[in-house]
Amino acid sequence: MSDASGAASVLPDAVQNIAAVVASALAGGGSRSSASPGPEAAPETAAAVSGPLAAAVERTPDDPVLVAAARVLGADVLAPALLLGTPPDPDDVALATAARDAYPPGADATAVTAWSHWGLDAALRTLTGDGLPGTAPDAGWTADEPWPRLAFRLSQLASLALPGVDSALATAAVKRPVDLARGFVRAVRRRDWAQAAGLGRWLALVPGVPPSLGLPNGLAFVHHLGGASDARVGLHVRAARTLLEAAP
Amino acid sequence: MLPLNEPTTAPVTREALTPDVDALLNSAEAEGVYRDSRECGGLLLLAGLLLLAPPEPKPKKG
Repeated sequence: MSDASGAASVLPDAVQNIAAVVASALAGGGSRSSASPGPEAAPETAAAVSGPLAAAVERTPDDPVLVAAARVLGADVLAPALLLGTPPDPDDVALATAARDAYPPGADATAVTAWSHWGLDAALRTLTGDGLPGTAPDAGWTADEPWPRLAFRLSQLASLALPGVDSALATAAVKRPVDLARGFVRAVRRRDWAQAAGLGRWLALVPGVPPSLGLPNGLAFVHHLGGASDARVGLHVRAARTLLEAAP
Repeated sequence: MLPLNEPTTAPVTREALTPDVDALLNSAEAEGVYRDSRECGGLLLLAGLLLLAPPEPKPKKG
């Protein structure tokens, strides 16, 4: 087996494992009164895992696969601290720092790569107060993209839908809540649960979402149908519910 | 003769993981999976016609 093919086979699983642990931490950290018992059963069980992410997924802190998986998840590695206001685990901060430093965006990086890296850096600065704000990537595309494309792009960057992490992407999302709602419905109709969950998280953060969308029920539907096969769906749905519970 | 304890797989490195990180970050939009209501309706109509069809006449004796 080649080096590259070996990496390709283990990284998606590592991402899923970390996402499941983060979702579990979110599920166990606050009021779960609105959680439906069925789809939540698996994450709640795993919520008993506490401590650093590395220990939870049984990897060493300097494992390259763990660092790469943390880079893929971006700011969501620190989502429990950012969403629940709990102190971040120092080992998780070290993991996020290693992921940020190991995979800087290149000059030809896509908007998703550049923004996810910026989001990870911003999350670290928000929690630690260390470092200076980096130059934010270009967000001009958010004004010109047709709504299906905008919705898909923002769903890929749902890890930036965090309170306390202001960005030009969040500003763009605030300006187009109806377009995001359209994207959510489109994703559900396409059975694209990952996109629907990411958009649901943005919709939980921004004001002006049409009440007729029925976001809480939509999130439950997405979690029910997509959460079992994709831990990142569960993570985004749990983050969205946390945002909705914290909304005034 | 090869040593028996030679590892069969190379350790995973950051360089090897970089393309996979980029691929996971920039995954393409999933193909939509729709339920075609016209197709479902056609199948339902066909099943209904089969159920409602009169039985074949039995051959007459004699």
